[in-house]
Amino acid sequence: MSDADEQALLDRARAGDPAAFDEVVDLYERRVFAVAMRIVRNHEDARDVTQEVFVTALRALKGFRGDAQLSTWFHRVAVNASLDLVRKRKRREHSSVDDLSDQPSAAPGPEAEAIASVRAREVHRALGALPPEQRALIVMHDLQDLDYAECAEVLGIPLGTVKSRLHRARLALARELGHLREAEPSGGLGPLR
Amino acid sequence: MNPHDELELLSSYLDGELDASERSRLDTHMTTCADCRATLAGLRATIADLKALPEPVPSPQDSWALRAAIRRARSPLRKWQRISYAAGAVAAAAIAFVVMTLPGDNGGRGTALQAESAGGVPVFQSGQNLQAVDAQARLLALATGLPTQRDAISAPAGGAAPLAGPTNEAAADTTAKVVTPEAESYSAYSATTDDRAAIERCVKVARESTQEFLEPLRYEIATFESKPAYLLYFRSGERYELWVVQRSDCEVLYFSQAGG
Repeated sequence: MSDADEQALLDRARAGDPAAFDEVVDLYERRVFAVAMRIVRNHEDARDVTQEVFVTALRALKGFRGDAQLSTWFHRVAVNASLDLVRKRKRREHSSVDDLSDQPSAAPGPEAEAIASVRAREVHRALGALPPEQRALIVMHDLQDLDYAECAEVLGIPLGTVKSRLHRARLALARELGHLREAEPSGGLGPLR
Repeated sequence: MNPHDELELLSSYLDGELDASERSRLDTHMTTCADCRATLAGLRATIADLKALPEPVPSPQDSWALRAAIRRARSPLRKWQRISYAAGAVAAAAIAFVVMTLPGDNGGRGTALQAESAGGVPVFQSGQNLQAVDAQARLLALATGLPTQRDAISAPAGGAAPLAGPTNEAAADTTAKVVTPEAESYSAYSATTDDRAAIERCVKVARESTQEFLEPLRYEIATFESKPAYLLYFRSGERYELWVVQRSDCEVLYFSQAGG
């Protein structure tokens, strides 16, 4: 959908046309769910986050500024809601909340089937081992294809932080996945850990 | 230069986020630095692994639960509630005795109902091929306390009348026939063990897809838009919900709520 089409859709939704908002839901549901699922890593929580995001969207619609892209806005709300939930969960000290990390999911949903390959499972597990903020950045940049500037806007961090955090996160994943030796013989990788 | 000053730049290099001079400086550096080349290859393989990851997809139940949450947030029914109870009941009664028949539908006589129970909840059966508007009417009848087993039955062709009120949208391309309660007939129905088990399974799916407690009120075995379906009626606080699910896999075919 072009920016102009999206703007027109948004205008209709703001004017109170429920069908227009339903279209917005159709457009962004998968993306929001995927972001939530990757960050919170638990189907039930991802569903809750997705509902929260769209109910927020429904209420925030009138105040939505035209200068922010709708996709950036949805990513930001989805990431924040997901990170909030992960932090809350940590405080409650729930430990084994990963749906797909180690064993096949008890309830075979589409994502459980999709992640059936051994490699995908390893990558999923490695992502789970990252700190949530690094994971969120990997999800935004490498899975959702946002560029550095968009990542900075979505996550509310400076561009320089996007660069260094993304690099650190990828190095950690590369080691976890066996793409890098634990320590280079020169020892020069030290500062990057 | 210290080769490892460059390492921070390797991700930006791969992402095409370096300017031309930084890029050429790094290219030159890498011709002589095996460490940087190894790290670059490792990062590249990692990104390829990430890109190959399948996207998690919401299930049909997730999608319906999302739309249900949005409907609740919109709460169009608060407006409906403001209308006096009597007016609401009259409107619901009018809708309850309207039957939609799509062009080509045989308008078959509905057989309903009385009931065996699944987990103590009455189970009814209807021989009609229900449409969204019928489901909506049933839910409204239940929510307003009208005798819900008075399923409407299609009258002989010719009674076509445009629908007014909440069913307008759904009725857009159908023909409405208004019928009277006298035209009904009922027959006792005993749900089979299979039906009861299948209904319980679908109730579980519905409950798992919402955070709110759903109290089952009654179940109905019917056909919805030509698909074998169960109609599951719940109360959640002040609100009534109807889930129409496919018999084979509990996929939600229709959802509606009233009251609350």
